Amino acid sequence: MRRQTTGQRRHWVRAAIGLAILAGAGTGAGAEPTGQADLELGAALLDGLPAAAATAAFEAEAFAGPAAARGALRLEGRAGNDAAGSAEARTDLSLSSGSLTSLLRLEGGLSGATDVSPSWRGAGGLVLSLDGLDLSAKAEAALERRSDAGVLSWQGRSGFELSGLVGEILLKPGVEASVALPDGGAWSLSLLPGLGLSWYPGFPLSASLSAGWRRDFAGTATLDSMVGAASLYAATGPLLLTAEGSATLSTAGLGAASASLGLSPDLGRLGSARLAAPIRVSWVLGGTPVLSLFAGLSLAFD
Amino acid sequence: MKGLRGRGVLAIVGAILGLARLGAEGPATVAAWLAAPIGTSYATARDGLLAAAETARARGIPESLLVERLDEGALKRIEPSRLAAAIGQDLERFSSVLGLLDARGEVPGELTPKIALLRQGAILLRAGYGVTALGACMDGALARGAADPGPGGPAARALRAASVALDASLRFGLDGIRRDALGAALASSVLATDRLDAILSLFTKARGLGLAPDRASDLLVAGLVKGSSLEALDRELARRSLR
Repeated sequence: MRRQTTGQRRHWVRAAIGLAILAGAGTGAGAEPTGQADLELGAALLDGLPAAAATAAFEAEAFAGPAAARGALRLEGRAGNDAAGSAEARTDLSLSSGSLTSLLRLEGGLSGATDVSPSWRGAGGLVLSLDGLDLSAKAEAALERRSDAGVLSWQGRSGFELSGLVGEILLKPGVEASVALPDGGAWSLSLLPGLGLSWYPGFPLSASLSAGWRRDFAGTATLDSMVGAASLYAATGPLLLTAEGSATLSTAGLGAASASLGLSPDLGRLGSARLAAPIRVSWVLGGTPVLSLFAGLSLAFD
Repeated sequence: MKGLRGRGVLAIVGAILGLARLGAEGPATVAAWLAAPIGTSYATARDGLLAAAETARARGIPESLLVERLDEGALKRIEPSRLAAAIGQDLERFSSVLGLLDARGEVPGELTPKIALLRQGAILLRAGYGVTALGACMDGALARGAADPGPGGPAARALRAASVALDASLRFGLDGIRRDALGAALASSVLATDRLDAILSLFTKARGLGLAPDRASDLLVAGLVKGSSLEALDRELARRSLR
């Protein structure tokens, strides 16, 4: 590495002082916690039936040198012809040392609906990231305990991903393996090599695409399927456009799939909150297809 | 925010007109401009404009920059007294930018890059960017060293970073403090100069994932200051989504 000149060292000192002043004044990058709270209320049509829907999300984060702690909570609920609700919580503790970042994650969730047994899950995991200028790598491992409609199971996941920038495209080849062990049942193994890419052009649009080939092993049986997900976000003036979708296609046909399209015009500030009016059309296939429309108001406090 | 947007639009118009003026043949001095057909309507402001031109020469500011602004004002049919006042303000902006460059030994020896830096710097100041914040961008770009400053060197990188930060602040409603912090962080970041505008795309993704603009700005600035690459910033956004 080239030795710095006296002039460069002087510029570093001035730059660091300037950045510290600016960053400390406005970015909350010091030890003082920062956070965000979002509230969304609206009306929904689920398969033609009206319902009221609400979402509340909270996030708080604090930095102390190379360490950071973050907590997030998301609550969703709807009530109409039937009622459903869910809660998701996550805590991250991270420590950075040079280009290596270690992250410990604890998360859990609870969901339920009318005439449906509640489901819950709790998981802990570790993520190691090595951040290079041209190439980065991430390795993660997680252990989860979950209950789906009364069926308890353990699930272990591990994955490895490389990411490298090619022009405006971030390429992310990776592989994921997971083992599921239902209580009193046979274990199953899934392998998922795949490729993800994210496009970051020099204007307010971001697109991501991921696709992989999953092989499920359950006893002597194997099932091959293609899994894919895509997202597109675009901002023009005060309007935010979101489009997201995912699908699983196997030899048995189309499995779980979802798609949503949303528009969210920014309506400015209401006191200390930012006000928006989101509109979303969503389609979910997990057995019986469900088409839903949502329109409401959202408030974001930070 | 509306005023900022309006100034942003004006800045872009000014930049475009300025760039067009570069390629066009016309008066090279204020005196020649006043004598040309386009300047005949501004005879009542002659004394003030000539005084401004003399001050510009004394300070080492190319007179062609004043002529560009005069062209722009005449196209918009601005009345002579207002145009003379605007030229006076522009002269101070050019002087401020030249002062920032001179204090850091970054004044180009050749005329064309010097004009480009002064023009872009003045556009940023006119749009509301502060002199101190612009200086912080220059210090950040210079501290980054010789590693890929991009075409035009560190000073051009600094102005590019400030332009991107201004664009982000206008699009996403960031306050002045966050805008300035973003500019300085971009200038000193590991991102290549021609990829600084990728931050607009990252902002959009952050908004799509539910992050409020101020939170997105704080997160991205913290990452840039830490030396995060685009891949690392992408990862930071992804792990924040609870969806």
